[in-house]
Amino acid sequence: MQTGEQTELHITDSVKLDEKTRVDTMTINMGPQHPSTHGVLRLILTLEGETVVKAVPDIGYLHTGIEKTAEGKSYFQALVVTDRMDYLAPLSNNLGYALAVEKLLGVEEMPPKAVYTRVLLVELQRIASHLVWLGTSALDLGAQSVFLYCFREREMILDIFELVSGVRLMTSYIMPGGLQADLPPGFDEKVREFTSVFPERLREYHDLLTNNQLWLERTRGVGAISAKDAIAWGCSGPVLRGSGVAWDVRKTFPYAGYEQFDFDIPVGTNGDVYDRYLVRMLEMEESLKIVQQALEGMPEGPYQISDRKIVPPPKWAVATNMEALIHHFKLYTEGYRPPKGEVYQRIESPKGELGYYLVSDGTARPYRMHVRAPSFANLEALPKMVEGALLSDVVAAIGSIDIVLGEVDR
Amino acid sequence: MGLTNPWEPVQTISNAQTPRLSRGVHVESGTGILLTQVDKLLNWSRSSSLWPALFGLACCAIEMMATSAARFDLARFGAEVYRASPRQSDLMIVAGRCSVKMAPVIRQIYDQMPDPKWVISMGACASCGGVFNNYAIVQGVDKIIPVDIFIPGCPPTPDMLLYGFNQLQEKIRLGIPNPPDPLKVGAVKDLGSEN
Amino acid sequence: MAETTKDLAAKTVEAVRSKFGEAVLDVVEHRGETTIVLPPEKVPAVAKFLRDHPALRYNFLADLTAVDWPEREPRFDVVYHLLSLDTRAFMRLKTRIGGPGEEHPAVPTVSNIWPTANWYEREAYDLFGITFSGHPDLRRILMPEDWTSHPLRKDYPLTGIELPEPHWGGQVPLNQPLPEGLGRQTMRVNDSRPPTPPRPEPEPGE
Repeated sequence: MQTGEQTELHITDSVKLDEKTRVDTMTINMGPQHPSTHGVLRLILTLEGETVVKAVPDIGYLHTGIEKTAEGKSYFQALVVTDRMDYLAPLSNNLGYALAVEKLLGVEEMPPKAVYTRVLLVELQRIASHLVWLGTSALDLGAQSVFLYCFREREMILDIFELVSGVRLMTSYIMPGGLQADLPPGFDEKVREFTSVFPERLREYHDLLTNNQLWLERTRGVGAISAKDAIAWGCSGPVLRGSGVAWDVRKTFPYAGYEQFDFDIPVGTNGDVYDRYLVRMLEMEESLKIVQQALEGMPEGPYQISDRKIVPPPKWAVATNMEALIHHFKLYTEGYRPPKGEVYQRIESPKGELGYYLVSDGTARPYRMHVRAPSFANLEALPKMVEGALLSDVVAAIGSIDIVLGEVDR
Repeated sequence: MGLTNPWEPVQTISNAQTPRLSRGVHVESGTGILLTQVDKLLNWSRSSSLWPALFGLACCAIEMMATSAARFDLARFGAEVYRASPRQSDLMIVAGRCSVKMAPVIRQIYDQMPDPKWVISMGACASCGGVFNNYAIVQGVDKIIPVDIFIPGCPPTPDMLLYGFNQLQEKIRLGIPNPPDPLKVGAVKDLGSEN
Repeated sequence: MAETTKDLAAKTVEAVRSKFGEAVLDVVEHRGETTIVLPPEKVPAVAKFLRDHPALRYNFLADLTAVDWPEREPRFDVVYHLLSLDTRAFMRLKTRIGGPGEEHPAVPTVSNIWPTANWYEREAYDLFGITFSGHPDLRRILMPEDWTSHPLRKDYPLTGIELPEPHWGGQVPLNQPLPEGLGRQTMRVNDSRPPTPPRPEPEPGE
């Protein structure tokens, strides 16, 4: 720490290149509490005037020990803490976890109604997450009304979640073995109401931003990362697709029934903020298509698998049937015990490739649950995007990566 | 038997509800209970234009953003702008889980706010550690800063936050002082048990 | 898809076996996923080989983590998840480190092969105490800089240890002088202003 040699300016590094030029850099702290860092991210920026010479992200301000917490809970209980990592898309986290546990258990068949409902809800969640991204990153760059419009649409989606599970966020509705409860009546109408309204709203956002000269100036050519760098730095999701790599886990390693649906993946060219913006806007359209297909083709049937050693029996059966009572008791006191082994299940969350690495040692608790968070790797690539750019471009770049500190720090 | 509507609540006040004036409030001498008209006016004006400092940490921050959005508008209660700088705000809504790395930051932001200031601890994690009873989360942000209103929920819905906000406004209007600062050694007196 | 993931996995195992022979300690297949177990010093060589192999091209490191098995010896498993974006091949590499008394077992770094491994290795160091030799910048990433233990080890209690670790926030009163050398370095970055004087103590009430 300084002891008062230079008290007027925070001149820290003074590099004499030759006798005539002297480059003074200033190290500033874009602290954990900052309106544009989308959470508690700390960036230590070394600036030369307005140009960023070096950017070092400092994370850990939201470290919650979720992985260690999950080791102390049964597989069913640990579902609840997985919601809280990527808190903009809890249903995606739940789906990843449910698929990983089902893989570990060796569950092969999932009833079609559960498959369709899972896909429908996860795609709605993707739209909701992208709406928050759009609202907040536009807010950072000055477009305040977009924020209010996006949250208006998001409230409609949250109403659907509340109808289905009782909770707006943190639903924990998708569980290993199916869904927590059946779809209530009135679900169809609510989703149809949303899908009829949303395309026109999307057009509104495009009108506001896509060809807006100010937006183009702020985002074109800013925060660019090449495809080779993006792959080397482990970026995934819209960051990778914005750089031109057509990689989407839903298409390459289809999971949870995505192979039955017809959708495209938008891919950018330059890897700058504008391309990522377009990728996400088009992804919202594609998600809407999937939601409509899932709604039209929703089959009847059970919403959970029928293996009572994994999924608790319905309450009326517990009250009358002895075997159901025993299953209920065993599941809620101890839980199911997957065979020893480990799995890695990857899904395409709105932020990128979300991976769950679950290690089971044969007991009722996960021995190790590790989450491969997409925002962790995407954030690691931030210095590459931002070095050499202006300070205001840092704000645009952070917004475009769409980090969620809950999953970066876990 | 005997109830016409089986869903009608039998009692309306919960046994677990905390009383109106919280116990153990350390009323500093000089403030007094007697409020003059000027004090009343000051308190009313303070309560009607509380400007929150942006302090969203985790998931509750999303609900806080939803509260300030169009459906549940927080601005109609006076929270017109969220000031980014703590020096220009008087309310800190701690929304989200506070990790041990973030704790000195919270304290510093609280110290940077000018008096009079209030703190709402939003969500279960900020109030008591929430779902996470482990090494990484401070079990309740009231270990570090004095909290006026606790809002439970994981995350609390926007209407719960609005209700908490309204309770804080009532608290200010009634002139109830801030709770003692937990980090001032000796300020939190052991009040023993109260009947 | 020309080749399925299963074929590619078999091809990978064959390629590694033919090039490295006795370095392959074990190959495990479970639920459609293949794991190759290697000794720690061979990891960078195998990783480079897999990345540069013309037919396999594992250019994406999806995940790097560790698992603690305290009753077993060696204690830690370091797990690498590799992915090829071109050929859609997927492989898991594992290495076992951690002798009986070793406090901070070492494994060579792969951050010069895949730059993304930088932060993953820092996280493994932070949470498990595994050092990565050759890492450019091995310091804590998720816990505060002056934390002294490694939380995700199985012998670390979930609720943490009260003392003698420097705990921030409510567990150490802030108006006591902090121990020498530990400041709030994470807060004041090159701040040459004099520290703010402490607020005067309020009069004791009653």
